[in-house]
Order: sequence, then C-alpha cells, then structure tokens
Amino acid sequence: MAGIRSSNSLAKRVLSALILTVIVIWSFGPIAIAIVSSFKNQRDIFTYVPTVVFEPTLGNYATLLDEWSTFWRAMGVSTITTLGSAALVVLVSLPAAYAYSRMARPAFAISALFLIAVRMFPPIIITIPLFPIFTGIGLTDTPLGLIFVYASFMVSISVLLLKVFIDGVPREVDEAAMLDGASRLKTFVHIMLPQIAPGIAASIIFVTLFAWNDFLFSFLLAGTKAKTAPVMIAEMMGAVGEGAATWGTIFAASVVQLAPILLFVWLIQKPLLRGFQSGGSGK
Amino acid sequence: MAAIDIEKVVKTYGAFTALRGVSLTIDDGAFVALVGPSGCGKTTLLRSICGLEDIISGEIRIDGKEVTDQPPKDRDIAMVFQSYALYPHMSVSDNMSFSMRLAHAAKELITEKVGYASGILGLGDYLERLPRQLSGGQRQRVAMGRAIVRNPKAFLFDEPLSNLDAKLRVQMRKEIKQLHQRLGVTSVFVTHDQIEAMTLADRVVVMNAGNIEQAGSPLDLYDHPANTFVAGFIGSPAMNMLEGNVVRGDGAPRFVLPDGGTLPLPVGADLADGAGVIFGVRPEHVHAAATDDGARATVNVVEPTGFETFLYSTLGDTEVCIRSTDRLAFRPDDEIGFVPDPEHVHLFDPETGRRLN
Repeated sequence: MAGIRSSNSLAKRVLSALILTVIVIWSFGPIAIAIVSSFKNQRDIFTYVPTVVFEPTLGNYATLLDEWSTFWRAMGVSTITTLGSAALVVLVSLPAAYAYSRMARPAFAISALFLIAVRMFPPIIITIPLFPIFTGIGLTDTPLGLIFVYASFMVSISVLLLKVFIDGVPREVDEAAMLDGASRLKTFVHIMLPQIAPGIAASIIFVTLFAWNDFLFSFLLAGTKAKTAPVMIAEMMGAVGEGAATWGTIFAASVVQLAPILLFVWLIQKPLLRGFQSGGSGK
Repeated sequence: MAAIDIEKVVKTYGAFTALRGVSLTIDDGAFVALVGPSGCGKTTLLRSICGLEDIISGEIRIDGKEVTDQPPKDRDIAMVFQSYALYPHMSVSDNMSFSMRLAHAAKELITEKVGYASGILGLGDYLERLPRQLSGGQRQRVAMGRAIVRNPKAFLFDEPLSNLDAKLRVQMRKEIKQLHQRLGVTSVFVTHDQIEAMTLADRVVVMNAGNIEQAGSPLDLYDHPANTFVAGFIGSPAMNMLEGNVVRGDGAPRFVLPDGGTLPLPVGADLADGAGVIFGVRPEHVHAAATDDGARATVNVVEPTGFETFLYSTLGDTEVCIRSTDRLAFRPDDEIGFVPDPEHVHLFDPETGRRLN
C-alpha cells in the first residue's frame, strides 16, 4: 500500500515539475536569452546550437554607454513620461473615483459606461486624429504630449479600479470621521487614502507598465525628439543592417530597458499583497 | 452636555417621506430612546440631529443654538454606529484620539483622555491593537471610547447592540446605562428592540411611519399607551386587543364581543351605548378561570418558563395571551374563562386608534 501510494505521488510530482518547467521556459526563455546574450561576444550570439559556456563580456554595455547617448536620452524620456503619466492618472482618477462611489447620480452611471466604451476602441483609431490636434497645440514630439496620451488612455480603467476600492470602505467610516470633526478633504486624506492604498498601487502598476512598454503612441506621436526607449530599441534593430549597431548592444539595451520595470514590480508587490490581505472594512 | 430641540422636522427621499414634521425636546443630560419598527424614521431622525442628513424643513437646536445648516463636524456630537465604523488602519488608541489629533490637542491631554476612557471601558491592554484584532464586544467599547474621549455635547447611538450576541447585548446594555449615569451626557439611542429602549432610557419615544406616536417615561408608556400602536409595540408578549361594542344596560356598561361574550368595562368609562371599542388588556392583567367567569377561550399552547407561565388561547377569532405566576394546570383544548382585571383595561377608538379612558 505504502509503496503504491508513494510511487503514485512520485508520478504526480514529476508531472507537476514537468509542467512547471515548461511554463518557466516559456515565460522566462526570451528574457533569459536577452540577458545572457547581452554578456556574449558578437560571434557567440547566433551560434547554433546556442553556447551555454562562453566568455562573458561587458563590451556590449560599454558600447551602449560610449556610442549610444541617444538610447540614454530615450531612457530619460521613458522615465519622465512614465512617472508623469502615473502621477497624472492617480491625481485625476482619485477624486473622480471618489465622486463615482460617494456621490452617485444617474448621470454618473451613464458616464461610467462611457469610461468602459472608450477602452473598446483600438488605440490606433484614437491616435490618428490626435496627430493634427497635437501638432496644432504643439504637443507633438514632446514628453508632455505622451504623458497626456498615456494618462487619458489609463484614467478610465484607474477610475473604475479605484471606485471598487472606495466602495469597499463603509460609508459609516467616512461619517464617523466627519462627526469626529474632519472635513471631507481630511476624511479623504486620513481615512480613505490609507485604506485604498493597495488600489492606488495597483493603478500605478497598470499605468507604469502601459507607459513604459508602449510603442505605438510613442512611435506615431513622438518619433524624433521625444523618442522613448522601446522606439529607440526598434530603431537600433534597423541600424544593424547598416552595420551601425550590433545585436549585442541591442540585447544590452533591452536589459537596461527591462531592469527598472522588473525592480519596480518586485518592490511594489510585497506591500501591495499585504495591503490586499489586510484591506477592507472595519468590521 | 446640551439639550436638543427638534422642531417640525421634515425629511423626504424622493417620493418617500421619512419624517413628517417631527418635534421633540431632549433635556440636558437625558437618556432618550427612539424606538419603532423598521422604516419608522428613527435612524433618519438621529442622523438629522448630527447633520448626516439634510432636512427639508424644520429646525434643530443644540444647546439653544440653531445647527440646522451646520455640517456634522461643527455640531460637536459623537455617534456610535451599528457597525462600529472604527478606522481599520488605526490602533485602538489612535481610533479614540482621532478627533483630538484633528483639533491639534496637546499630547499629554490626549494621553490622559485616552487613558481615562480606556480605563472606564477596560480597554487598557488593547490600546495598540488594530480593530480587526478585537472581539465584537471590544470593538463596541472602542466605538464608545471614541465618543467618550471627545467629551461631546451629546452621544448618539444607532442600534449599537444589534451586532452582538444575546448575552453580550445584555451586558453592554448595562454598561451603557452605567456610563450614562457616570458621565451624565445627553444621549439618544435608536433601537427597534422595545426592551432595550425601556431598560436604558428615562424617556422613550415611539415612532411609526415618520411620526412620533408617543413620548414618555418607560412605565408611563407601558401603563398609559396613547394609542393602539404604542399599546401593541410596547410590552412583550403584546397587549391583548379585542374588538367589540359597548352595551349600557340597567347596570354598569359592559363590553360585548361579536360572539356574545361579555367583559366588565373599567369604572368611569364614558361611552355611548352601542359604540364600537377596542378593549385592551396586558397578559399579566388577565386571570385564567376554570369556572364560567369571563369570556370563553380555548387553550392552544401552554409555555411554562419557571417563574411564570404563558397561556396562549383563542378568544373568538383573536389569539390572546395570559401571563401568570401561578403554575397553571391547563392543557391544550381546555376551555377557560378569560377574566381581565377591570382596573387595568385600556380602551381605544377603533377608527382613530386613540385611547379613550
């Protein structure tokens, strides 16, 4: 009996290990290739079968530093647009979500529907008519223009997300604070904000991922002076054919582009999860 | 501490009228209970007092000062909610001191006040805990502590005991009463439980459909209900109410049931011959007779509780209850005589429900 059971559970464990291995290779394979290749010499990158043992080099990063100031500039633009749009989205969607949750009116319900509808258009349909408008008001090819685009694209989802979190805070808790002598603003700051912090963090993550990884809007609306890192990396790939860039440099650039976002998600996930577990009502 | 004056307050929600011109005076230091069935307007009235509801018309004065248009934060009133409404991200001590911190009170004063309140409520060992780490009874105490610390003009309680189990409810009821005796702060307590209202308050206000039916001391309401609603609402089991007519023969006027049974009317009841009347008598003021006395009733259920016995019977087509400290020997289907004590009979007008005697 014991023997059967243990062999049975062994088979199960082997199977689950196998499935996990496939998932890990599937998800982390490309990232691993990019990271490993960024430390390879040019001749090792495209050998088949890929070399596992090779002489690591920092040459690609050195080249990126020395010869690609345009890439670092694009990283700067990416950073500014990402932080800017995250800040703008939170700033705009917090009061909006509060109004949707606490001051419900029939008109609000209709406009909430509109919030969802806006998200259903393919982005390109919104982008093309934006081009002449942006040119007209001088926002084309500026980080500020991108911030507006990213923010307006993400505000709707952020409002709906934060509304759910604010709905989760019992109204009586607001009322208790008001009776304790707090104004609406103070109630919002001292009572509401700490309780919906996980929602704000989640909203920031969504905007950050979207803005940091966006290619389309940046390519169409800010292709020259306010180029972001993804567009720059694509441009570097184009330059390979002309012999102006190497694949090693491109891999190094993609690792540099990837690192901050990985670090950010890793840093924010713990407090976020803790918030989700402890959040909710005072009951 | 302050008196609260409520004058002709009207509140509507769309087509629904929650308060129909309610007027009430709550004396300084009084403990008033607002009691009534769901939707009677008691909670709306409470929320209007503290400013959480804007009233349509009427006037509310606290300590002689009109506050009708003031926001809640300026009324200096503390409220204990049914759900406690503690700040979940703050410790017990921070929950209690929130209002003082908002007012930028001195640290020493905050420590002193929180210490005082937690001492009264037995929360001294829990000051650093978060609400979710407390039991229901402890959370209830924190909610009261939050009110005590502020030393407000009045305490409002919105069904604060209904989330507690039966045993804890009785204990907290006693603690709230002791707290009021100790602090003497004007208190308004909303409940749908008439026992809670009777035991806690020195004045009970019975509400129904947005109106005040009657306000008075608990025993006044019990002994002299102003109408059939109050008579039926206050007291458990409820007052027996029988419909019938007055017959003035040669002797004293008598109450005649539709099936012909007759009961004596109280002395001094001045009623016209043939007038319709509702004859009310509390279960403890009826005697169950094994003889031919009184009106005939058939026993349905006998409930012995030890100290007293409840006898539920059918009289005509009405279910009546008799409450006796005698250990009654009746069994289901026995015929008994329903013999009310004429001194404790309440007579009401069947049209208006108003008290007649």
